[in-house]
Amino acid sequence: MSERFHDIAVTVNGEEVRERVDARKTLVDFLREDIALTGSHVGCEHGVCGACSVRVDGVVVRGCLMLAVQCDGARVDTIEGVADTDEIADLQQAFIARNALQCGYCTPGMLLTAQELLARGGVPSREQIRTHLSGNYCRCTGYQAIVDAVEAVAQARAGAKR
Amino acid sequence: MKITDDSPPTVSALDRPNSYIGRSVPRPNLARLTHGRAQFVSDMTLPRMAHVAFVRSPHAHARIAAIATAAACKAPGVVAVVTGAELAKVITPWIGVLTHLKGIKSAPQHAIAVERACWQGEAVCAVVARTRAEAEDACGLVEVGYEELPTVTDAEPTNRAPSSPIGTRATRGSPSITARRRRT
Repeated sequence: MSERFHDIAVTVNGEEVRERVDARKTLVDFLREDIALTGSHVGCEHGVCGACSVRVDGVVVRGCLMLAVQCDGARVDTIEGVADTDEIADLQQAFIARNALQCGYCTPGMLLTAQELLARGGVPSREQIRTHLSGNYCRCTGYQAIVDAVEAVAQARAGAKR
Repeated sequence: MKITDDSPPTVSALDRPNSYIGRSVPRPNLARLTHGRAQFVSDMTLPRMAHVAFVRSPHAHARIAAIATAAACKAPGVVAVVTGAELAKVITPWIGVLTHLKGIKSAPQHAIAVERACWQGEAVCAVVARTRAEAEDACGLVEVGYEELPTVTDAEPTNRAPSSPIGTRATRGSPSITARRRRT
């Protein structure tokens, strides 16, 4: 008979966290409820909207489709942790300057996913940006300003490298 | 001590204090939103806060024959299980009206469905518990007996007899919809 509650050790934003969690608890609920990191949001709870996007071992995943117990021993980075390192400071600034957010609910997921694309280097086309962000839904902006912001940052970073 | 006058030489309407016209005004709370440190309603936690989950009708139109809540009431963490009939004792239904078109009104809208569910997904019972997971668990223990009723799946009144479900109940007293029916 498998146990319902499990002890897990997860490194969240660089800090080792040890908690006892229900086996069925999703990663995003664990982050929001047990660790009080509410920057990752719950939208659809079935993996299509992207509001729950977090980084697990460096890869952006759906927090609503992963279980907390799956992250035992893993490194999890949320928007709060990534924002604290200034890794996406130019992206955040571009979002603010170009009004790429209104209510802000999709924004954490949008930023982490966009950063995943930009970290590959190069200057993606608007089409490539849209394709990469196709798993992040925004009900407010109509996406145009978001694509503008990501494109501008890609160009700025490529220009700075030269 | 020399006093320098640093006012602009001419003053236009745009120089009025707090004039946003022609200005690009960034919103002050965008910094928090882009750092994941804003507070949405679902981010709030209050001491001894409870969570509610709803049992919803799977039928587009059905009479609610019975709701068995005993098992849900005993489920772990459950604070209360409330049916539409119980809630109707403390909340009156809402009736939508148009102030510029006298006489038009909606059917009474109950907070939680009372006698019948009128759309797929309409709440028929609320479960309040200590955590959202416990509330949703207890929702699964609520048993609702439905008697399916005919559904209306198009908006054209011409396709319906005056004695159809919508024709007789929902729009009594609504002049514009009555007028449409008279034309057909």
